[in-house]
Amino acid sequence: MSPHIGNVSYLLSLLTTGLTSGALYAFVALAIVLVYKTTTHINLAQGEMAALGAFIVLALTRYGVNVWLALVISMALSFGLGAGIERGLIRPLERRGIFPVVLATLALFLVINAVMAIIWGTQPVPAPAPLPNGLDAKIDILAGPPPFFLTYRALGTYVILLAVLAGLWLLLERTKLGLGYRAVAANREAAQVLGIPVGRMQMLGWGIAAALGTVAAVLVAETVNTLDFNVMGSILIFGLAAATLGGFDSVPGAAVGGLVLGMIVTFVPGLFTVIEGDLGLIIALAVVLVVLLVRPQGFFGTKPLERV
Amino acid sequence: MTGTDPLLRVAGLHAAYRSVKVLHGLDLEVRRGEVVVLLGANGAGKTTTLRALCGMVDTQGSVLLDGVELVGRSTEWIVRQGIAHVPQGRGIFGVLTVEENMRAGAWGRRDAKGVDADIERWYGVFPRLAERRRQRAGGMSGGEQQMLAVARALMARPKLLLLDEPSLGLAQIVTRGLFRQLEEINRDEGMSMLIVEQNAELALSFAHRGYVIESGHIVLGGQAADIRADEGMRRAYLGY
Amino acid sequence: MTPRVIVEGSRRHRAWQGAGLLLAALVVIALPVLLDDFRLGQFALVIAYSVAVLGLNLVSGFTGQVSLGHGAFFGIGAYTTAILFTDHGWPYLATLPVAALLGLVLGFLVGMPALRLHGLYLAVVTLAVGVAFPVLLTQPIANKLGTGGVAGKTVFVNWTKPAWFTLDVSNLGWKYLVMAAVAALLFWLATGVLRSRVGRSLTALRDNETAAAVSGVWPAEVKTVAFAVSAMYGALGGSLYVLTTPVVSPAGIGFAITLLFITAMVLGGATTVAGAWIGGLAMVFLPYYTSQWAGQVGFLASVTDQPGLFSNVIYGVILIVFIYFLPQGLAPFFTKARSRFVAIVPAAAAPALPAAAEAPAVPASPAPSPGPVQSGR
Repeated sequence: MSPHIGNVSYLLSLLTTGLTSGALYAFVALAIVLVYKTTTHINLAQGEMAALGAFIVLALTRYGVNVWLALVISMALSFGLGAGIERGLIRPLERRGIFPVVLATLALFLVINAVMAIIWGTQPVPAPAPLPNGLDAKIDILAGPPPFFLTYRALGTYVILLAVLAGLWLLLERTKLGLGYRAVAANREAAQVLGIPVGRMQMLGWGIAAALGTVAAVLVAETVNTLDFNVMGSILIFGLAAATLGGFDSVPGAAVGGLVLGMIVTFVPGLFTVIEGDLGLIIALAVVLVVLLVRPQGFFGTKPLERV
Repeated sequence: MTGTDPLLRVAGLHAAYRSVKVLHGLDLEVRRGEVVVLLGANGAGKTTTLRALCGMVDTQGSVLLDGVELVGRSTEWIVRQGIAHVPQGRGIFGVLTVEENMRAGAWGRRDAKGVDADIERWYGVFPRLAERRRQRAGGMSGGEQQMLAVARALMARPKLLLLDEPSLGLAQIVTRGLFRQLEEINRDEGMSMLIVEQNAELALSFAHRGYVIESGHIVLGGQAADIRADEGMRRAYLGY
Repeated sequence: MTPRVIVEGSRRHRAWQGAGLLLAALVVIALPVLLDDFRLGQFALVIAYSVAVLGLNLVSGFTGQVSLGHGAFFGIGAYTTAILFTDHGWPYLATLPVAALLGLVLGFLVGMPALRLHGLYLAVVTLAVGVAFPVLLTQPIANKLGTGGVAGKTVFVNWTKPAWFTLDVSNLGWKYLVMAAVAALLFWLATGVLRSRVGRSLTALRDNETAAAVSGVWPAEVKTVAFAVSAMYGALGGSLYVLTTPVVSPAGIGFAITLLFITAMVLGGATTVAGAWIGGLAMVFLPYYTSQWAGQVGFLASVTDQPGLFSNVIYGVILIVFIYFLPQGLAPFFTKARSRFVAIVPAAAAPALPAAAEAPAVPASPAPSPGPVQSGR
């Protein structure tokens, strides 16, 4: 047990740290889920596409574009890229089952990863920082020790996550496009006979996922202060674990799954000092295995991860 | 109120799933305001016929709806021309509410007011759906789900309604109620229907005309009453 | 020219097979005599990779799915051998059964929960295992076992050629021949599995169109055992790798090498035995020649200081091209080329349809191969 276990300030710090990483996992999990719902595929290149989006933000800011404007432009480009990849690369393989599609997303992974390294180099570079990120960019709450404070970066991450969730809710629950998307997700063939353009809904899922991924990658890079071509390497695993936890076909599940996973990954090493080192990935693996054994469809999901 | 004016004219329709040919030159006709039933054994090609009309399998030949050729077009486009399909097993969106299902049925329409009015109109015909409009459709009984599937298809304001085995998995009394409602919709709205049905007796009692399909061909067609009356035909093709 | 027709299992068939095996063995044995140690080291690496890729072929064949954690199995074999050999003074060959067993057990543990369920679970679980395993190696508890942490484990198997072995080869040549012998045994076993009744019905469903259908063919138990065996092949590949490379590190057994294994499998031909060594050759020589080429082309060299990155782009492109246009991989080409000269038909079908019968197995080509590799039918 950690000696700080009774220290309120310490526990609150763990909580905010957990929520911050959880929010980042939630973004990736949302992207995975939005692709999965209409296509029943998992895009293993999700992280690389996201990192590419972050590099585009970086490239634009180097040309003097405002970082927020750069983010919006990059999200739009990512949306187009995602939708285009679905249409051009993935859909022709769909009829042949899971195997070729998984391989195709792996191929994307390889190509995008290497292209990023070739264009922007293999060394980490300072990350674009849309959120205030200085040492003083925080609100002090408890003096401690250890002191408890909230950084503007953490607050900004929470606000962006909430805004994204609200936006997704509005889009999916309150627009005709969202109705079509949910109809395809619920029953692809029935949606088709009603004249709902199934293909376009699949492109929509990929597009939104790619745009969200870009937000995630920019925030991840800002959290670690640097951007490099492997920035999303392990985050994809956390995103997948979060999606497994919440259920691959549940949007709220992805958000909750991400936050819960963030808490687990922060609190377990934080409270039990018996375990040392960076155990996040191993905890994520344990979460995946436990969920599969206990509740394969995830805690908010309706259908098991299966292609019908 | 059956006219003689053909709404749907199918000529020499071939259909295949990838390389497996299922229909070999099918001819049939549905007149305006008419209910036509398609009978036949399992695997004869009934469901494929309906799917072929909607462009969901690879097709050759000719399908004219009001003189417009449908073969080679996308399902989306065909639905906009006025064909609505109630698929086998109902195909409702279980996680969506009843009303969302109805709205999904009106996907191709742009008249928001007309859609709202139609929703209320079909709630009038199927009051059970009105009671459950805010509930998830997946929680309803099989009969209610079938009503929803029909109402949802009608939301597209089709010229022709295709129904694939509407009685599947329903209790007899529920089926009879459903067919009564279909009969009313045909009579009151003049809705033309092409129905695939296992329960030949029931379907023939309600349809105007019938076709019997065997191995991808139409082997028999005529007035429903004549088919019912002809014991030889019944024995040979319908097995009752 | 009309192909010579041979009845499968007949004396003539066996004679051809024997001749083919002999030819392949001669090529394998000739390499250490003819090549310098640098080249030979490359071929030794081909052997290690081929064994691992063969394991992936077994997964895709039996489950219709892909394992995204093969690097971890490769790693457990490499680390087991490295630790037992370096820290505990075991003879090299004695470490192989332990590595195999550990691979088998780990594969079983990973496959059991995932293969009970359909669909993408295996991909998710194996990916998580594959990424978590290198992290595990850097944990203090793993360090106590002797993994060497982030830097990795240094291991040098200084194996002098025994005196009784009179063939004129270097010490590396001797190690290479040991590897070839082990690999030959493993390929022979895999061929046996694929030739069995189970294997035959399996490979009848080989093309990619039906790969999804394959996943429904076998009960979870069969798939789990197949997966465990594949993990064992991965581990043994890792054990062989130790003979070629003086260090095994967490970075070397991560997702990157898993991706290369998968690309190699697709390139050779998923679910074939012959495809595995084609994949192994590609894994070694493709990046080698790509970096060389990219380093020489002025424009490419000016873009990045790491010309090796271009081989990853090429890998990705190859993967996509093969998925789209050659889902069966390269292996069938060798079978086809062979069947222009010799057509082998099953005994029962022999009189009826000689030339039309599907082309089956005989040593594929005299290319450098890690032992008696055969094209699985």
